[in-house]
Amino acid sequence: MEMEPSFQASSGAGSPSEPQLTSLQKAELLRGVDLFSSMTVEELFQVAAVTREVQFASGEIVARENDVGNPLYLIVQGKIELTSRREEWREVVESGGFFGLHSWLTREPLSFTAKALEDTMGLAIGSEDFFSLLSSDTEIASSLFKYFVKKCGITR
Amino acid sequence: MDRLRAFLNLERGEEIPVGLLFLYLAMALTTVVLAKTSSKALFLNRFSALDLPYVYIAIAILIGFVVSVYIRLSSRVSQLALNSGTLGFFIVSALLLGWSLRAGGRPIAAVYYVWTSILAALITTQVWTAANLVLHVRQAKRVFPLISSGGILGSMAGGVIAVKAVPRIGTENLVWIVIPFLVFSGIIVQVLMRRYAHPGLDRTGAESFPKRVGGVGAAVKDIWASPYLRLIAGLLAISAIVTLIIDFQFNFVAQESFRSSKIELATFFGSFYAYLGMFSFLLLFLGGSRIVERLGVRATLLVLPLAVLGGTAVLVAFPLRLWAGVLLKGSDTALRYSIDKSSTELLYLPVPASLKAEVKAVIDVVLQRFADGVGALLLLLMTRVLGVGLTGTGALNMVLIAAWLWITVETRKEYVLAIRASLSERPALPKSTLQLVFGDRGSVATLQPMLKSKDEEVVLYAMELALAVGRKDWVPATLLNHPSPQVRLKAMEIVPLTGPEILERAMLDSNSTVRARAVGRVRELSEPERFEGTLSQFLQSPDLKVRLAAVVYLAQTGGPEVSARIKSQLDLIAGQLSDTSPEWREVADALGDMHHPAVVDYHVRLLHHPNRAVAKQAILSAGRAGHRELVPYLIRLLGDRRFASEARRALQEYGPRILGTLADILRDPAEDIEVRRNLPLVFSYMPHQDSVDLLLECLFDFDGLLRYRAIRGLGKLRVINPELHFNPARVSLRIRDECELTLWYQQALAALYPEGDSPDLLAQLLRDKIARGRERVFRLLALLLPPTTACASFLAMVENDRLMKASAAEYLDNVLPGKLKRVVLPVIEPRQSFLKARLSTAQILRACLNNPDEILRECAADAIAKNRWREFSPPEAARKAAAEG
Repeated sequence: MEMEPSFQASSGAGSPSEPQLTSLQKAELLRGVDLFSSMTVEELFQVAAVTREVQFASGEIVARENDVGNPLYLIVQGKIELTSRREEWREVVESGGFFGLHSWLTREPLSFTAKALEDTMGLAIGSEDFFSLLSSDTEIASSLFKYFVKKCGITR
Repeated sequence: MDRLRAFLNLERGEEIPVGLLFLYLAMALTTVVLAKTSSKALFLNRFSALDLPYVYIAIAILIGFVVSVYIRLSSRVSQLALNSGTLGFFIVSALLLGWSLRAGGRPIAAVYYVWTSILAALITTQVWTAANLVLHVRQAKRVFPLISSGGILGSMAGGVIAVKAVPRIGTENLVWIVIPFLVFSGIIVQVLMRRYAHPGLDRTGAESFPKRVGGVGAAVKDIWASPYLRLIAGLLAISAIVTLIIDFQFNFVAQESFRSSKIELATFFGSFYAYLGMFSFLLLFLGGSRIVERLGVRATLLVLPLAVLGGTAVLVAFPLRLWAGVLLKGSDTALRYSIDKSSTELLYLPVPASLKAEVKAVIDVVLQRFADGVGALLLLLMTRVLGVGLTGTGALNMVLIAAWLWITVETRKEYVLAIRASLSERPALPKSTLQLVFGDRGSVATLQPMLKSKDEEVVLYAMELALAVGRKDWVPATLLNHPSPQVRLKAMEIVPLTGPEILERAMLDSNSTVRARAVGRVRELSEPERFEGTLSQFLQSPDLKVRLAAVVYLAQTGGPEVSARIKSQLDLIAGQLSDTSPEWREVADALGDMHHPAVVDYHVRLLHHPNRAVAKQAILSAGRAGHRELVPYLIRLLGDRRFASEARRALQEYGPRILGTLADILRDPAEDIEVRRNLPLVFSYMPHQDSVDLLLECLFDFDGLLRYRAIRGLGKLRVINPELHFNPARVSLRIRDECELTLWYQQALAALYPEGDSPDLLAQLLRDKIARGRERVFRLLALLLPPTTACASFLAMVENDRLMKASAAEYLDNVLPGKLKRVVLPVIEPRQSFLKARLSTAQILRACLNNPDEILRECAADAIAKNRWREFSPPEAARKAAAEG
């Protein structure tokens, strides 16, 4: 049976926090993410509706390498360290940044481990929730297409 | 500055190019009047008036030669070089003339006369060609009358300068005064063409016109090859002949009225032309642009012929009355050099720049002189040969004006087509493209090697193509032996069953899916009972796919008597599967092909299966099964974001027979809004008049997203079936509402964020709403206009190509009815005057805070909280108002 992926299911780390952000604040945060930059404000509010606020204590593992079904994480406050044992690679994501996009879109295993470097607050968007939103709202799908067309440099 | 701009009907940024064009034309006409005054006086001083016809002949021959050289040059050099070179030539030749005239002699006076005629013909044409390259069609429509007023001002200035200068410096030396005006024109051309000429103007509409370049002969061929250019040429030629006849009639009446006194006659002419000049200037400067913009090219083209028709009728009714002659000549001259000149110059805008210079030179210079000659011959024939007077020439003129009106009407049509052609360079691909490419017999030869390929993808693609063009017979049965199971499966789905042996072989295929498909096709045979025994065996098969295929066959061929057998088979299968078994998807899929009432309960259960993939498959197959009992379940699922997409597809498969049920849900305001919002997406795939009528109802729903989806749905149905009727009154009403709303958002954005870019979500939201509003307007327009042109107009608008934008706006300006045009144009072509809000910032913000749109309320409260507007109430109060709103 198909599992409903969520950030809790993927790692068991972090906990959904008491809502602190309004839909508008979430929409503003989402607007800062490149992937959502082609969306209208109304679409950002719709995406905001499927996000969940999450908090991680300093040192907590957010997600592990090879985990599947991870959400996309947006950092509101704090720092997350991403490390890959296989590729000997390290990166730190700070406020306004995001991570997990590739595995979130492709549903492939995560290629890094994510650990909170300090107390961190963020937003998580479950892959399944987002794809349900896409299939029910063709306008959002169309905005994403626009983004990818721009990203790929496709011109007439 | 803003007030002056508004008074002159200019937009920000247009002041300098329009001012330069105004000056350029003024300089050109001052030059022409100065040169004409002195050359005419010198010629008549040194020759008899009876020698004039020889000069006319010389001018006609020389103009033909000069224009031919000019056209050859125009195809080789840029317009800037052409204009500068021409001015340079006239400056140098004016210097030579100045020296030569001092020396005196008769021949030089004749040369000066001819030189002036060529100068007058070329430099005015060049001003308008430059204007065509600097301004796009929408700007030209607004500012051409203003530029024309520069010409009238220049003519008056030339006259005044000549009167003042001749007593002081003498007639011969007037040519020296011409030189600084030519030099100044040269400077204007440099600035104008270098800084403001738009390079893209070269390509607009180029496809609709011939591409030859060469001398006069080639240009005449170009004009002849294009219906549009032919009409412009005809229009200007016939208008020139009519003017000549009017001039003759006016002179005749004036001569008869002032027979006794030459001084009275001269005074009358002087006063008449002076007042007429002033009137024309004021008409153009104060109201010309608004008249042309408001009425449009198509209406203003009719003004002059209708006015002279009326004037001629009056003169025919009251011959030899001076007031009737004044009325006729006055209306002709005042309108010709003001509104009519602006409108006829606008006709050249859809002509590509590569052709414009040569075509304009031939039509404006050569053809008009030729028309003058024809007019003169007609007059000679009427007055000298036939001996008719004012009434006879008046009657001839009325016939000519009738022809002029007919050509005008035809030109108006072609003008819209020419603008439309410039927009439709990128037509949407017709859905029949594939059929066009692969629909001929020769294409079998292309597909056959592909079908024989060992490459799985190539063969699959070839089969898809054959299927797409409706040629299943091209797919050979030998593909059932292809090494790829995917190819065999596809082949099993589409190869024509020419005999039972095809199925017998496929039923033994190593792949169970292929075997199942083979079972599914048994009923297509003429003797399906031949397989009864085999099918009974298949019902016992351990392979689920094969068993399900056998149950499908049973359900499809049996009546109520097999209900128990089907149920027991399904129970047996269900008993062997666990809740989490992925095979449930196979079962859900097979249910869609059974078409038997006995399976409805099983289907309902699978619609709510805990495994999302199984539930989705069951929903999709419900559409294929077509059981009416499943419709209420599918409608409920429209409200569930996880399954809405599949539920829509399933309901679409039911077709128009369930439209009544769906209409009840749509019209129920208490119904779940998510369910209602999905209904337009269902209707848009049912090409039926009832779907259209329901979507038209949706256009006036309270929910914005539902309205938007209805608009898109209507567009889709229009493309699927152009025979459907889209009530224009309802569509127009919605367009008006959308335009008003979008205009309000435009004004709100301009008032709240005059500085432009702002990071506020409110600013972004308003921009989104404006963009979506415009899109809705175009989508709705596509229901009233040819869809491809409406689509091309929309693309032109969103791509920020100012030339295409202008063409799109001009096209709509010409094809939309007046009432609709007045609301649509401010939305698609926002100008400063339209953006001026009638409400204060505080009123706009209060309207946002009290809007039913929750997101707009939140964004407005957020922007207020950031203290964007000091004059508005404190942020706390705003937030409170938003919360209460």
